[in-house]
Amino acid sequence: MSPLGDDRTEMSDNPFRAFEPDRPGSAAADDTAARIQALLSEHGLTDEPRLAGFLQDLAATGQEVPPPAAALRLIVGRRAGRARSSRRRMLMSGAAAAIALAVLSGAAQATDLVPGHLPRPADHHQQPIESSSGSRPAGSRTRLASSHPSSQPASASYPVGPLLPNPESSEPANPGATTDSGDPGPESSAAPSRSARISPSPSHEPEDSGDAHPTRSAEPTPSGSASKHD
Amino acid sequence: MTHRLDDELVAQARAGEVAAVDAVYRALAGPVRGYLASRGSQDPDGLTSEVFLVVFGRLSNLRGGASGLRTFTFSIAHARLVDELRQRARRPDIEPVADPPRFGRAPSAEDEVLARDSANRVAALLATLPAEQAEALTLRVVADLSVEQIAHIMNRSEGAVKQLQRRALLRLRESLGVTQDVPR
Repeated sequence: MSPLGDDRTEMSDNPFRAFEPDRPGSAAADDTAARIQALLSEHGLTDEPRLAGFLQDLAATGQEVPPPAAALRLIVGRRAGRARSSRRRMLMSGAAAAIALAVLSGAAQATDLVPGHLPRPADHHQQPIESSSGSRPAGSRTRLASSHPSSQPASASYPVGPLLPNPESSEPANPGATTDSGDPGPESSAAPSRSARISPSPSHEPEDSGDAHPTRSAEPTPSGSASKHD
Repeated sequence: MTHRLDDELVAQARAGEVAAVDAVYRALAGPVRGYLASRGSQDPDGLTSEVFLVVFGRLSNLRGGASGLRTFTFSIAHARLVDELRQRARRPDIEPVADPPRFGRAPSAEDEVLARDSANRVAALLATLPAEQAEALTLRVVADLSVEQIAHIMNRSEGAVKQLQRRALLRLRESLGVTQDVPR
């Protein structure tokens, strides 16, 4: 067998086949070309084939869809490798990865993404994950944390306590979970007055599910649904 | 197959339909990863997953349809990228994470070389731009965001974003060896 053969993945057995990047020549490529022409035309640069070619190459960097499972496992491994990572954070990271993996592989209902309803990381391959409101087989899940927001629904079988703040992140411990309060402000960590826009940790709102890097409030408002440039 | 991100798809995803959530990932993960990679992330795949862990967790609360979801997703990506760059500045000795294994069709050696060459060329040219110009251009071309959306993410005015894009294009044009006058 050729040495190269070992590196090739068989399509038929690969559950991540659906994440194969699109091949050139698709409708997406035509759409990209049209967008680039629109951009160039905005700036009077339509007759610039080299510039258009560069922008095509730049746009092509967004055509590769990363396989979620590999990347999510990478997150867990990377966090586990940090000297200052606590075991708790590792558990949370693993649970969060399992949620996304389960949903992306079609094994779970998206309602299982509700913060506080975390499946055990190892379970998603063994059996379908039921909705958090449904019944679960006894012993099929692990309680990841004992403390949890007091307003957690009684049916939440596997509540998760507040995340530990990440000492390496510039983000505050409060995830700033999305609210309906209106203008969320920019998500950028570079925003100097960000902390002023983030409400103090609301006890009624569970923390972001399993993510050790909670984000700031950044819910897009209707004003964020800007009309497209073209 | 390419998934178009439209309001109906987002509504289905918000309602908890697994296929729609999956389609959202397929529609946005590539551009998110491309944006992060183009802007110099050392771990674009891992960061992409972190972005989507947040997006999925907030999906039911999102408003603004497809456009709002796109803006929200890239707002998170932008924030995470800024954090990574800050962390790297504080801890320059951190080792880059190895690329995860790729699934699906394995590219030929020729494809890989060409793709790597193209990506390197793109990265090298983008590196000649000031950070904000590169940011504005990448969000426009890779993320397919409007000027208004980019202004929201970068916390700049729309006029400033347009100016950043124009300067970026002119600078790239020079770098690419085109020297004719540009209409004002």
